[in-house]
Amino acid sequence: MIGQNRLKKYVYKLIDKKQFPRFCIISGVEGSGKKTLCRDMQNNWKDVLWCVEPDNKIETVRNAILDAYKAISPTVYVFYDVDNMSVQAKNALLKVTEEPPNNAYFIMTITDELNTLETIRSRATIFAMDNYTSDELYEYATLVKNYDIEAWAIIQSICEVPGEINAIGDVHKFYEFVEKVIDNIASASGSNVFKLSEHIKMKDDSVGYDIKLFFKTVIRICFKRGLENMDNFVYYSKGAKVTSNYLGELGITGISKQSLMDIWILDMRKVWM
Amino acid sequence: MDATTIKGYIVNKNVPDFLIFTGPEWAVQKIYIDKIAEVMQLDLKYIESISDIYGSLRAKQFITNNSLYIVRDDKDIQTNEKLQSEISSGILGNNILILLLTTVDKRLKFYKQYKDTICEFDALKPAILKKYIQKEINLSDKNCDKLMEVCEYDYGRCLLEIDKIERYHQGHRLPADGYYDSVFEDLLKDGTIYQPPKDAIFDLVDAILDRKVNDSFNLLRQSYAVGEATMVMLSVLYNNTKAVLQVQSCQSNDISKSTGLTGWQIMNAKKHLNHYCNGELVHIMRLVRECEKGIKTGQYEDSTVMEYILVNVL
Repeated sequence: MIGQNRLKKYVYKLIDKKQFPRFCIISGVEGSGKKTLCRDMQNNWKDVLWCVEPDNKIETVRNAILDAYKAISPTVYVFYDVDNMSVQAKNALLKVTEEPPNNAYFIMTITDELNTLETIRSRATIFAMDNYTSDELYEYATLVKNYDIEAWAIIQSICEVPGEINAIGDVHKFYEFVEKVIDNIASASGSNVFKLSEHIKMKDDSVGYDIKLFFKTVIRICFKRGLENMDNFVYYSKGAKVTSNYLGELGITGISKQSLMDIWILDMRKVWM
Repeated sequence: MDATTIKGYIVNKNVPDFLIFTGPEWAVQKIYIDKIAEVMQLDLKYIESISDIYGSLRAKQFITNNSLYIVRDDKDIQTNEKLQSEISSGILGNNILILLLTTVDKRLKFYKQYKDTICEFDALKPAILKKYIQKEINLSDKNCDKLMEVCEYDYGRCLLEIDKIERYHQGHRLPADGYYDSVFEDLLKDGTIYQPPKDAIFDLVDAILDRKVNDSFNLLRQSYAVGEATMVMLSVLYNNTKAVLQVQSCQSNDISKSTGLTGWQIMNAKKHLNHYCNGELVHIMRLVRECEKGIKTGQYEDSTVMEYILVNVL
């Protein structure tokens, strides 16, 4: 695992001293390496059994709790991405996390701590993922692919976590796509412009570019173009401002990406037409 | 246990002191309850809770009238193990207690313990239900089918509607064996016979996109009556408005290629063209998204959002 040295050092110190909390939450933005940290711990913490739950359904949670009370050797139960866990499932977990069974450890990963119950947060030890330095991201990017200098410059300006480097795919192609959108969004016909969202990944199981990366790249290109030619600064800064608002709205739990993208298109046309 | 077993108990005049009835057919349950009371010569008493009669059951009395007690969804019996053991040990004496349960929680210990005491009255099969209806009232096959449909194949509801027909029939002093069909049709038409609201979400969206004010509000009421979720209504309204906007603003001959919509979507969108200008359609899209976001962030109450949209749009 690249980066997160402070957190890893702290976690392994707790494990070595046998003081690892019975219930903890690993919190960090999407793609920041929460699952990788869990896998890293799984590889290094050998004297416990690891039980990674396949989903966060209420039945799975209940079964894990039943299992935890019967466990005869130390077992770690891991729940990934609990942001979307149902309230019933969270309540079921609440009971066991209040006083975890002797041989059980519970680890949850979460994107936003506020997406879980306050009562759960108050019972958990929260491990927050650290920000990645540019060197760490470079180290990761070189592991993924042999990027050229231009591509690395783009990655450096857009990506903040390793997961975003994975999601970006072909950097040049992606950048060209975003430039094409910026060049044509105001001039394309009203009926045609909505087809743009066909290239964006709207659901977990669909294909396309990551919407967050797309917005971040739009903002980056707008500023770049605005600074390159000060005559266009106001024009592009308006586009960046609109996009920045929508980038923020992506953080709202359950927000429809499709309608968000559509209205972004309409707003961009409004300020640029 | 099924209804045949209960029938056997009644025939043999040997009904157990504790029974549990469940299932959607409350009218059939009522028939069995009345029959048990009649055959076993018991006073039929409906009680709120077992605690209402607990004291009198425990008290020793010289002269008592035995009763058939009916209690609905009583939690004490289901959870209080002491009470359950007292019932098993004969606290009811010569009385009979029937517990009516709307739903049975099969996870409970209570269910496992009384599995053999529970009698489930499932919905009657349409052919049998038809026979029962025609035994009560002289309706044609076609109207009989219609009555069963509006009553959602529920015998109890069928009986209630038959009662309305008979009362109307008597009130208007119509000939004894005739006119039931025409009475039924008239009552159905004027809404005296209740027809359950149908799925109205697509009609609602069509009415909004056609700018039909009264229809929109009526269909919204109907949608709420059916229990449609606001988020679903918003989603359908948003997608259809977007499709209409795309088709309406398309200047190309090949709409499908230009908009990416399917033939079916284009055909539906074309039905609603020119009721709003493009700017108004954009306004609807923005409003719907604003409301959707408001619900997600807790700014808007989802029960009032659709009315808010209709007031702003129509």
